Amino acid sequence: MDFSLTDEQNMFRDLFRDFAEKEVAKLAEHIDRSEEPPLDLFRKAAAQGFFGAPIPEAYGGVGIDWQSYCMLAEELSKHCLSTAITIGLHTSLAALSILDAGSEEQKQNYLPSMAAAEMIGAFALTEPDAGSDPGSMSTLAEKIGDGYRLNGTKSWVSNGGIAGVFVVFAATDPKARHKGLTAFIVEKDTPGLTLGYREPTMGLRGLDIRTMYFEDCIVPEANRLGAENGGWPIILRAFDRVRLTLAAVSLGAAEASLALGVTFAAERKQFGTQIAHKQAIQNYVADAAVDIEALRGLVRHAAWLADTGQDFGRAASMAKYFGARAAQNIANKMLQTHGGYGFSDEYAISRYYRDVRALRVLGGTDEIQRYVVARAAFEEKGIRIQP
Amino acid sequence: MDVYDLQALMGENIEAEDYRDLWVVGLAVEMQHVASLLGEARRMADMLGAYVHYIGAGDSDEAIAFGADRVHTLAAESLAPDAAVSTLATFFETRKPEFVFFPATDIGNEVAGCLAQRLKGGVVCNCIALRLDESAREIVASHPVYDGAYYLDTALAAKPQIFTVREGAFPAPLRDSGRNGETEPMDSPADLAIRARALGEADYTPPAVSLRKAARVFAVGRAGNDSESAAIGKQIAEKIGAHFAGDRSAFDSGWIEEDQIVGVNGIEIAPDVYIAAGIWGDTLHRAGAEGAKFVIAIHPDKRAPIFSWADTCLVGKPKDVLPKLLALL
Amino acid sequence: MNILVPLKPILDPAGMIVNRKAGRVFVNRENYMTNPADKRALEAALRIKDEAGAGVIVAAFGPDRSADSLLEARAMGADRAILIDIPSPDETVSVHALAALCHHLGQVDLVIVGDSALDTGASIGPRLAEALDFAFLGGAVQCSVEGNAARIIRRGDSRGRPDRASARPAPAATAHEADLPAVVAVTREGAQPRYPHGGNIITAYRDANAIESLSPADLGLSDSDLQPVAIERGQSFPPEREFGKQASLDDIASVIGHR
Repeated sequence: MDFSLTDEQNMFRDLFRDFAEKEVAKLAEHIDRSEEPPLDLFRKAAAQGFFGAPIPEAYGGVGIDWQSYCMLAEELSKHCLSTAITIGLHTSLAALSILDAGSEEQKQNYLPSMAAAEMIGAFALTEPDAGSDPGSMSTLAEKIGDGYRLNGTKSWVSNGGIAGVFVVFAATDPKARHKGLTAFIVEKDTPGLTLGYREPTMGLRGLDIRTMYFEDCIVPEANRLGAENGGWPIILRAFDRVRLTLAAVSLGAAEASLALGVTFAAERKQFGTQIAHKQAIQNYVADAAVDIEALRGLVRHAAWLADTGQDFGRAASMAKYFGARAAQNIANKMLQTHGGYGFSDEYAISRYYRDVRALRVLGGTDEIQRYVVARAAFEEKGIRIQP
Repeated sequence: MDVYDLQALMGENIEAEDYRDLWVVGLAVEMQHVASLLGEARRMADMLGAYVHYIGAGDSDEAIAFGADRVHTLAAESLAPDAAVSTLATFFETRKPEFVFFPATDIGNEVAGCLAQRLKGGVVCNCIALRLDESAREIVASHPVYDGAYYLDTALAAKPQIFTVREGAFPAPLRDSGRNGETEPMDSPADLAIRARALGEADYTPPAVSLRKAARVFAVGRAGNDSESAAIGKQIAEKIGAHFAGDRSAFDSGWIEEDQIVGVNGIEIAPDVYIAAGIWGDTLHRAGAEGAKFVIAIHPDKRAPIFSWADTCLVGKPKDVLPKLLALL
Repeated sequence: MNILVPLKPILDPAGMIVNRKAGRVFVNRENYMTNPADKRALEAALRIKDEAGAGVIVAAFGPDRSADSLLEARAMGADRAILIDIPSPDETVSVHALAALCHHLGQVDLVIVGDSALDTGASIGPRLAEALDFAFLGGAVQCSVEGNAARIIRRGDSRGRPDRASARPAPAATAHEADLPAVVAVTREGAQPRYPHGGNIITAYRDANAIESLSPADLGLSDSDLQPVAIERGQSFPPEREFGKQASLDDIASVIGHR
């Protein structure tokens, strides 16, 4: 058993850290205030290969392993969760779904420009009435000639406003529920596709979240991703990936929050001494540090499963569930450590506090993650539990 | 009279292998800096029973007054580094200096390095302290590393031992105009190959340095300031090559922009010198400015917390003090 | 044209705490990075490669810690990386070995070095030029090759700082040139180093031949060439700061002038 990183992984971590500290940190506050996705920053990140990190070199990516890819998410989210999540969702949901299920032609067509951030990817699954339950989706894809006609509404499409390509799910056989879903690759300018309004959010304000409308939107058969009615496995694998990615994002956010709290506690004096000497503060810090190490263990383990080709779904759900709660807890305690200043928007901790809250709902709510974990436990007893 | 005269006088060859004496080389540097090197060399020479030589252009009487026994005057006011290396190397081949001191300027460091290589000696650059061990006849030099976070103490196992010394490393020496010394002109070899050609002024704009990385910061706060004195503060900043900044109160008064606020809720700075005029200096401001290596504080209220973390303090209203300070700089 | 850039891995100061009171340097996280000025030197060489075409060769001393610096340089665009098997040489030994390396490689037209090492203050540029009998151009913030000459831009002298003491404006930047072969020393104000592309990192790290190793014997170095001259006698520390010292206006003006 060896927990150490390889030289290559170390090098990547240093590169990610360097980039995040020099390029991302200085923009984080601006991104939050202006609510604008930093397109210039994305171009710079793409020039280093960060938009195609786990995509194989043959398709214009870098081909790094999950361990390194998780460190990318972690290092970015130490400074800006919006940026980390934009890149994470683009990669884990959109690009890797095309790599996972796409034909050779589709991979050649889309992955290189996605890795170069010429086309940012988005994943259109959720609907106003179908959140954690994709089987009940109402967007329909009717077969017509050599294509499909899509009609329906998608909501909460992250990266929606900046995406060049969408992985869209629609029902081709509504009666079969989740077994009747099909995935499509839809480009931004396809007639019949309209972007709706930008969701105003309490945090992750640099993330462009949209509603999308499909009105007789014709998608050629060549853009069907995987088999007809074969969408469900694509969704499940995308969920596994995004959960691990978001667990790594939680790790970075938790580390950054702890660092902010510790710095503040080392400076702030009350009753004649730094508040670092107060046991209440020490307890917050100790609890946070323990949670962070536990989370790191969960993330590394899930990434190891992924890198060795094993099923990492349950491990990713555990890491994501634990990570999102830990990150929120830590941001909360560290904000408390800041006293009144924590409530001020001028201190970064308040941004983390707002941003990390999203992690408990994004990419599957806490409740769904617990279901995934519990389901695995009951399966051993031969009981199939329902969500 | 020095050993060379003695040698001639006595017809005796004092061991030719011997490296001896302390040599100070002044290369187009102000006398004040050179004088402190001469003073320190004098002190060491007295402990070692050796002579102090000065090589340089300019006033030889001054060099003698500050401690030189013999002055070797260079004809040229300043030499190109190439030329200085050839001249000194040729000269030192026969003189075999034991210790050589240069001022730690860019040229001093370059010439010292080349000379060490040519003479197969050792060199330590940018020293801020030299300690002589007279029995071992070696100098342990302290020189800053990691931007001055601490010093390495280094000795040299080859001769000559060459050191370039930062300005201000030694106290100003005593000037004794009654001292005696000798002066002789120093020849330059005729065929000075100058390989590095100066092309004159260059069109170069240094990269903009952000407040975060500024070497000097001058900041104002509301206490005892008004918009007029804040403007004077800005002039002072310009004059001393500092970034102009302030605390939250200066921003609220409209004297600075938002990206000029120093503090944990603004920019965290770590300059070599931080000058704060009218800034109270509470924990939050302190946390943003505490990285400063040296802090000068001016504040009307002697209870201001900034005085507990400033190296140099003046109790007074900035609007009275700053105009006078501007005039003094 | 071939350009040699020596790289030195140094302890990352971010993992280090200097305690003046205890008179100790505590290393909390032992992490190594390429000396910042050396990285700027590498960037200068890579820019010449981009503009005029050149082979960029990086070299570092090992065996410890240097592989990362060399592989990172390969990922940034260096064509060859050489690990010289001498553990932590001093300035004198470095100069001997790098001069021997130039002879071993043949046809090195330009050596670009960082002007000083952050961790020891060593500056090998002038000495290496002398050892190779190359021209030397120091203090470069920009470096280019024009025809058969190296051309640099140098900031006004800032280390002796006679300009500051007398409150004269800093001298203007000046241009200098020298015919090749030459040694150029680049300061930390040189061009911002590029980030390596992730794909190039993988290529470098997975290429078993990315780094060539040379022993002192390969370079024809004798025992006397390997004798260090600089002997470390420990560390010392700036005095602890004393706060709250009252001063007059004149004192303040003079302190500002001298710092």
